[in-house]
Amino acid sequence: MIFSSHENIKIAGISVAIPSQKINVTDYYTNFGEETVDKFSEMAGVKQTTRAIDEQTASDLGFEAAIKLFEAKNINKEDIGILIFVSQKPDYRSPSTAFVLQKRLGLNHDIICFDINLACSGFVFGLQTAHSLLNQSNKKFALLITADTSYKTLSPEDRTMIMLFGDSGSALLLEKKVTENKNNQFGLRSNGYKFKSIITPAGAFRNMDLKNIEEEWTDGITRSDYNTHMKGMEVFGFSITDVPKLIEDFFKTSSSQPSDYDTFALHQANQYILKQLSRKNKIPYEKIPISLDRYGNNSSNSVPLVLCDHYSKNENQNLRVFIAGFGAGLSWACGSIYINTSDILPIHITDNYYKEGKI
Amino acid sequence: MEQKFLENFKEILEVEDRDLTLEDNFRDYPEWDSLANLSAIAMIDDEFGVVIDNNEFKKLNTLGELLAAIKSRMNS
Repeated sequence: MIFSSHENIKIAGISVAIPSQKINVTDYYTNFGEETVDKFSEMAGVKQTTRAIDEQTASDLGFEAAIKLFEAKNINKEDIGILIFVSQKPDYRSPSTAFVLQKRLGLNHDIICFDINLACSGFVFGLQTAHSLLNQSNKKFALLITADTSYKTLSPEDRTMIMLFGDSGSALLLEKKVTENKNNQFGLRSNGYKFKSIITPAGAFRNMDLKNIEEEWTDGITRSDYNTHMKGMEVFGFSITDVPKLIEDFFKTSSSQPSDYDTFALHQANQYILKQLSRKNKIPYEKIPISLDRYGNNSSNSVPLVLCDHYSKNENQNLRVFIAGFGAGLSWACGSIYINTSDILPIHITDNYYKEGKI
Repeated sequence: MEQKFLENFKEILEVEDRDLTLEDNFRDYPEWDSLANLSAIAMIDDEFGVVIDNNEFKKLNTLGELLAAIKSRMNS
């Protein structure tokens, strides 16, 4: 496990934006049959998801979340020295979408901008990267934006995927500040030997010859090589073995235990996996807030979404939060962070998109 | 253990009204689909504390083969 501990860096604010469109799992009764849908919903714990409109990219959602954050924090934007955008759904093949966001947010040239291509583990990896870079820089703030519109590469026939994933974006502000023994800490692991477990094979440069044709795959589901494919059983197995092992190792290395944390903002993979993590890591289930029932699995944004969903109404409460994310790569990470609930903003609903971005 | 395993599998295959045997091929049942597969992995993890690797699972067909795989995993 890669372990890092960061002193004198504070989470100064966190914000989430979602699109207005809501999809109920019952909307799929005609496509997949009532029994299949109900069975899925019962096990996964998803009743509803949000979905971006066609014109709306992941970065549009992240942008709106960042605007709300700026409104609430009223900081000098010139003090932001790092902008990291974490997503699997960038605006363009190149350049990094972080540059588009730099322009739209009006940030100056004295800044580091780049994208990180990660999915469900992306918030934790992005946060660790932002901590490390900010610590080594001469600037006061770092901005981490995570966003995904997973639906856009899913085959409409891939029932467990299409009913599971929701769209959203988040923005988080890190600030250099004396934190008095409240180090944010992270534990991270990667397994590229399983890179095919969750994969979108075409659209880049390895499989340039593949046509965008939908065919029946060996699992009986029709999809094209431009769709995202998940080996469900393999990822499920990973989630209930490697992830609890990492959490256990993190508790040991950080000399902490479940009772030290106020809440567990875990990646909302599915309800069953959350129950398994609760059981295996001895985390009281009532300390795991749930948002996947109304928003689904939100890729890298599950952690900020569940925080904004549950804590934006609480005033001035200091929380020690255990976070964890795991998915494509395979990639898995967890951490211990401190945040005051007054810095957790309410969920913002928007269908705005960047019209000038169209070439 | 065999009894518990077969009883739990009845629920997964939704055949509560009759008994299963170790010779039964679970893949032949109409209720066996990806969700049933997830339920089986989860049930084995809950009841026996082991997770059968997906590549190994794919090669198993009868309940007896699956039970043998669980036992060998429990002993390793």
